[in-house]
Amino acid sequence: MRKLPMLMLGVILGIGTLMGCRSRDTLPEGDGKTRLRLWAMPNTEGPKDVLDQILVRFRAQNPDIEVEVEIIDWGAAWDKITTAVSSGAGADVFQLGTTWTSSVTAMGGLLPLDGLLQRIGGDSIFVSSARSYMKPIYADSITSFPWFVDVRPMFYRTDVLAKAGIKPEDMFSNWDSYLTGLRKIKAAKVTLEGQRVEPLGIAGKDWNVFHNFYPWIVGNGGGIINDLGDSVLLDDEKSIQGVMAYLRFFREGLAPRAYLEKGAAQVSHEFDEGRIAVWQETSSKLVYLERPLREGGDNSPGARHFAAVLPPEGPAGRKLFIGGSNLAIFKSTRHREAAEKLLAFLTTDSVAVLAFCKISGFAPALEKTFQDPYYRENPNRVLFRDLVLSSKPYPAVPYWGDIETVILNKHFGNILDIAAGNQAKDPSKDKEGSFSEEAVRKELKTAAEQIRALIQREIQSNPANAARLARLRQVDR
Amino acid sequence: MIHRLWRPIRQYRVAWGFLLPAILGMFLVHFLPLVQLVGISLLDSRRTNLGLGLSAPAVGEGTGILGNYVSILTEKSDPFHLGLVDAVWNTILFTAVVTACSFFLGLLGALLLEKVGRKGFWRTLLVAPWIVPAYVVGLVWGVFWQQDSGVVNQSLHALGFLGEDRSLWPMWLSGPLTRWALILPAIWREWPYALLLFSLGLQTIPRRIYEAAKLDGANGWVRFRKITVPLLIPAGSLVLLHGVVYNAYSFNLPLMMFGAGSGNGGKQGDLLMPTIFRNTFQRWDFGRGAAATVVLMVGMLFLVALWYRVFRSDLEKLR
Amino acid sequence: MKRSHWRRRGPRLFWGALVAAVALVNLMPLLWMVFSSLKENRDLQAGTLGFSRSQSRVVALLPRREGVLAGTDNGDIHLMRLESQGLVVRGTRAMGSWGAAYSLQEESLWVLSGEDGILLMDAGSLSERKRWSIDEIRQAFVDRLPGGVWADLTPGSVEASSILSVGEQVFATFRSKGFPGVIALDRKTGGLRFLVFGQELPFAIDQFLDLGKGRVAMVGDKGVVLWQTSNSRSTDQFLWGQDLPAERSALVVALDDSLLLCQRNHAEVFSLPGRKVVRTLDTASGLRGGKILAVTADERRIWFGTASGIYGIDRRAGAVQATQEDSLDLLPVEHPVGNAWMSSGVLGVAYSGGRLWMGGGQGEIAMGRIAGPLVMERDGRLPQGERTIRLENYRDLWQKMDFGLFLRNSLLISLAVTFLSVFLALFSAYALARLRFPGKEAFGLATLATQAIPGVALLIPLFMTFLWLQKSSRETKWFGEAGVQLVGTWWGVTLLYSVFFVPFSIWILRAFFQALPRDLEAAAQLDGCSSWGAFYRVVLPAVRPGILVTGVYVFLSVWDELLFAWVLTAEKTYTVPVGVRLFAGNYQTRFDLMMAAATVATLPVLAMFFLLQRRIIAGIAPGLSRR
Repeated sequence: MRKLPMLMLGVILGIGTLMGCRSRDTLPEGDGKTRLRLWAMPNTEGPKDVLDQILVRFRAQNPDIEVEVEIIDWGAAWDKITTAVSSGAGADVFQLGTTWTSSVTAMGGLLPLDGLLQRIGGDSIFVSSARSYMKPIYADSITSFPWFVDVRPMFYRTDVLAKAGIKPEDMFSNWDSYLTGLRKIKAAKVTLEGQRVEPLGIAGKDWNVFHNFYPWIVGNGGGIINDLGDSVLLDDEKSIQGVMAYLRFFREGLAPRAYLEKGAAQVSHEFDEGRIAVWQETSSKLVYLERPLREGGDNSPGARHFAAVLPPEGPAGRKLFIGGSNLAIFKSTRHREAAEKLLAFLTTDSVAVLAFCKISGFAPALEKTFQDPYYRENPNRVLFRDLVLSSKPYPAVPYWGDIETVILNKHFGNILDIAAGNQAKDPSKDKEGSFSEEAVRKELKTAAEQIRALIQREIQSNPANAARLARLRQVDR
Repeated sequence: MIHRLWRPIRQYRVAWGFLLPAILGMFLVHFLPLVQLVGISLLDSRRTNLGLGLSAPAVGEGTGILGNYVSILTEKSDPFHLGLVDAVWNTILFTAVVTACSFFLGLLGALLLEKVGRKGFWRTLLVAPWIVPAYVVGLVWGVFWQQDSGVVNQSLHALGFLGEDRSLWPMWLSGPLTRWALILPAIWREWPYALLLFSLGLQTIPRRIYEAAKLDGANGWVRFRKITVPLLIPAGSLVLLHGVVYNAYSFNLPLMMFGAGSGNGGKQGDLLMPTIFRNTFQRWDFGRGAAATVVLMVGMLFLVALWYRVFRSDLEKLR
Repeated sequence: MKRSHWRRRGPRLFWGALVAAVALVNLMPLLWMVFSSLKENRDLQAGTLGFSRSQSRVVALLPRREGVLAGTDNGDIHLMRLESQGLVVRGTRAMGSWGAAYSLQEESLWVLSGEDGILLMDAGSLSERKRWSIDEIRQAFVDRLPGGVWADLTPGSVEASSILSVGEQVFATFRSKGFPGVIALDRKTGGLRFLVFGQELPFAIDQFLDLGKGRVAMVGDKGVVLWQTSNSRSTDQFLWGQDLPAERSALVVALDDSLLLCQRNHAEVFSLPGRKVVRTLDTASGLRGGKILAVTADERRIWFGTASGIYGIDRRAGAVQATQEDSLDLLPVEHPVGNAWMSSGVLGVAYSGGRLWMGGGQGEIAMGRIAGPLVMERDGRLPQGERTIRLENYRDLWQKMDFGLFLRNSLLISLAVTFLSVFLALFSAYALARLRFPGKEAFGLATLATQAIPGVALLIPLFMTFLWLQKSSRETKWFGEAGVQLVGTWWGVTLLYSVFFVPFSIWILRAFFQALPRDLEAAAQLDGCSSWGAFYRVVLPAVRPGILVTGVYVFLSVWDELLFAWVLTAEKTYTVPVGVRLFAGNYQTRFDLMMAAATVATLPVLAMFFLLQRRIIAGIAPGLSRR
């Protein structure tokens, strides 16, 4: 029995050696090369290979710089980046979701890039709607460069529209014609390849419930908060009507109720399988739909008969969601110069940007990339530039993350729950699980109040923010 | 003075020596963090000053030292508040239903097992769900509950309980049914544990007590009430304790069931642990997250103390 | 006699049946999980309760005198013969590998498959004559290539892309990240060679075209290479975006001395001698928006198999005249082979000796005669695939995510924690059960009270402390450049878990020590043992069942721990729960793989439980009765 403790010790030591206790925070530097770490999220399939392929040219141009690409899962990226910023240990260059830029900037973890921007010719090389996150509202300097943007065209089934006798250019011109078109498809009861095709697919519960509502709110002239981020627009009548316009798709049965509990990826799959006629998704969907059969492409009904189109125009114009990612440099980097070179290569070298956007399917943020025949000749990609130009980014305030992930996603999730219910017979009785406009209004009101309180707290708790805001308000006038 | 402290340590040095590693570890991992937690709950610790750690400023003036507590418990405009209130009620309901159902199902199952041969074999089969990790249960049932393609609705349809129109089928993952979508799998995983404890508890009751009672003319029901129930109290108390603590702190199951791991079950499906987790580790609102945790913990300590008071004598009796 | 027998046996049977029924219902979700992990995702998405048969997607039609050879993408080859009642299947060979490619030269049928490699078959009998396995192919190149180009070429990780048999040579290529070149097989010697094109970056070739006269066009991601088989050298090269259009076309067909480059809705005729596009066939209007899926040509016309049917375009008009939209000659098709019958599009077309063959996405095959207009003559259907159990789900799971790493991390962390925390708890539990000391009651209550602490209560301060430790140690550089890293390393979580589960282990173990006879140590000490000696030699062996139970319990708890692991692990140290959560987020529509992941995560602990169940359950009993 004396052996027991020794055995345990042995096992533990053995496991320790097996796991390799060595930490890998700093890379070995022996051959005089500068070693950079690049953190990126999986934006494509085989993300590491894709980036390595794109970096081949960078490595050829800069033989003294070695880049190690590390792929960070989207689900873990926010935690990882914020942790790295506060512990001071992280990569040199890293990818940031656009709406994260202002938060991370406020945490004080990013290197100012004003000098670099001047050297490469100012921010006009990027498309206008991608610029707003480079220098967040409360920041004093440029802290990140846009890498690519996420815009969302509408995809429709050409065969379904033909069968229902609808011309796409008529249907997708404005909200009214869009609604009429969807109703027509519903009435036509189209059945193709043995499956009933429902008019519309919209995702319900997801990591990002809110992005889907957004175009309908701003398109109706409403909003969440104003551009300076100091007053709330969510409980404006226009915003509320925008939300109601969106919910109408579920209430009228234009979109199947089952989708209320499905995520975007799942409903997207429904489009592929030929069960819905219209579907809006990020532009990378094109890469999948256009992939030829012999390269492992899909022969699903969706892939066979689709076309992409600009979403319809709302009463207040066409105002669309825009997301995407920026690249930034950690303040604690030890290789500032090399890191700037890498960041400039990835964001401003048009060959690198085009190559990345071709593989990922995202739209470029670099203006001149749109001149390439790749974006001018293919009818489905001609839209990209219009999509980018007619989009309206979320305000770049550091508390946007809180507003979106905590308040909006929660309350809009609740609104979807309400939309799932049956029509309430007597709306004054607020019965659980039934639908009424009052219930939706109540949710929006609560959300707006919470945003208001949050903004007040954020501005009050930080006198510097209040002073900057006052300055910005003057400029605004 | 020193002598007075030193003596008991010297006198019982073997005992203290045996206890030292555990005491040291528990001091570092349990006690110290708890003190820190209470400290953090008084701080205005958030994303922007995450790097400051424990030296973050105290909650802003005007709100008092308990600002975080006041805010999450009463302030309507606090984003944490409404979610917390929903989550508290959901958690209470969830815990109560799951614990109660598991308790009775486990008891029935254990009594049933007494009636058959090859007890060990059946018991192993019945206990199997308890071995399945909770996050797997959440993930798998999240797929089972799918409104159109899930096996639950599909089976109900195949058995004729649901009509052809899929849009009328019940939606398990949004709206009021979400509660049951959480509760049923939780019971499925929890009741085998109750069954195991009750079944083992039954084994410790000597046969001869029953035989003696039989000779005295007691019928089945009386024997159950007068012999089985009192002797099963220790096992039952453990089932209750485990059920309440485990389910109130249920995290893996709700997290994996909703939104492919995003874990937000909405108004009727959000539980306390996922709520606190989202607010602290995704939004980095440590101050209020800590406050909510302290509140939750105080409530739980109260329940555990209550449990200890009620069952103490029963537990002592066995010694 | 009989009645009394039933009186005795009846109730027992009833109770037995009841228990069996309950056990079955209880195990149902678990069985369904495993069952689902073996299904096709399509079935899970559609809600099909059983297995559906796989569809036979025609990817190749190889005409022969008496019929046609139809190859499907799930690796089945069917020999269909023309008979009076229609097209009849007269031979089938199933290989069961996805994404196969085929080439026919006289009586030799060449098949390329991602699982089996290159196969040579007899076209008449479909019997295998020779095979070059993936391993053989890899072996042939691994020595000749620098730096692990071949790392990815393992069976199942590659898909067949294209194969072509010309003269004495066979060319083949795989669709795989690690496969940048072309396999050239000498038919006479059976020897394998490897060709790479391109200077900076190798071409990834994905299609071979027979241009006649021993010339082969190899189409790749960067351009087209012309290859002369007689002297084995490349004679010319065209690059996308330079000579060829900027947008690379995935489907290319040889037309005498030109290439037909098919885009989604239009096709371009590229003249090889002229090095330029001489004509554009805009099919978007002419073909009613149908996506081009397959192309072939006879002497007069180019035939497009599209998503909405088959269309022929007059070739002479196109070749003679330059672009003139209205010269498109849409043929009247008497038997329209369109959406009605080949509902998922015409995926394969082939022309031979006056006959046009067409194949659809669900195994439909049709033959038409071209004499003026196209006249449909015969049709038939390939048999559906088998109802197969998809074990490939598990393989795919491993490829999509580093599941092996997660499993290893989880196993090692769980084992280490189990040993450490049981080891730490043993002494305290012993002291608590057997020794008398002041504060015993308080300590016992404290261990119990820790069970009421939620994990997040400890995680918040510990996480902040870990961050602070790392930051300040980086500044002082006492522990090297990186500082003390407890977040993201395996020993951060291991140490934490180990202590975290100590109170719980103490609580269980104490009961086992209490159950031992009071005078056990006394007896040992009488035999001359010290008090430590008595503990080691007598007490510990006696509580071995308790150690086992505690260990299993701790192992199960660590295996199922997501909260700490989510916050404290990183890419290299992710455990199975973290991996599964990330997986579920990334592959939301892959229910099949989710179920496979769930099964893999459950199996180790379930197996452990079934193996040890007798001892675990036997071990719990004393702990329970003496609490």
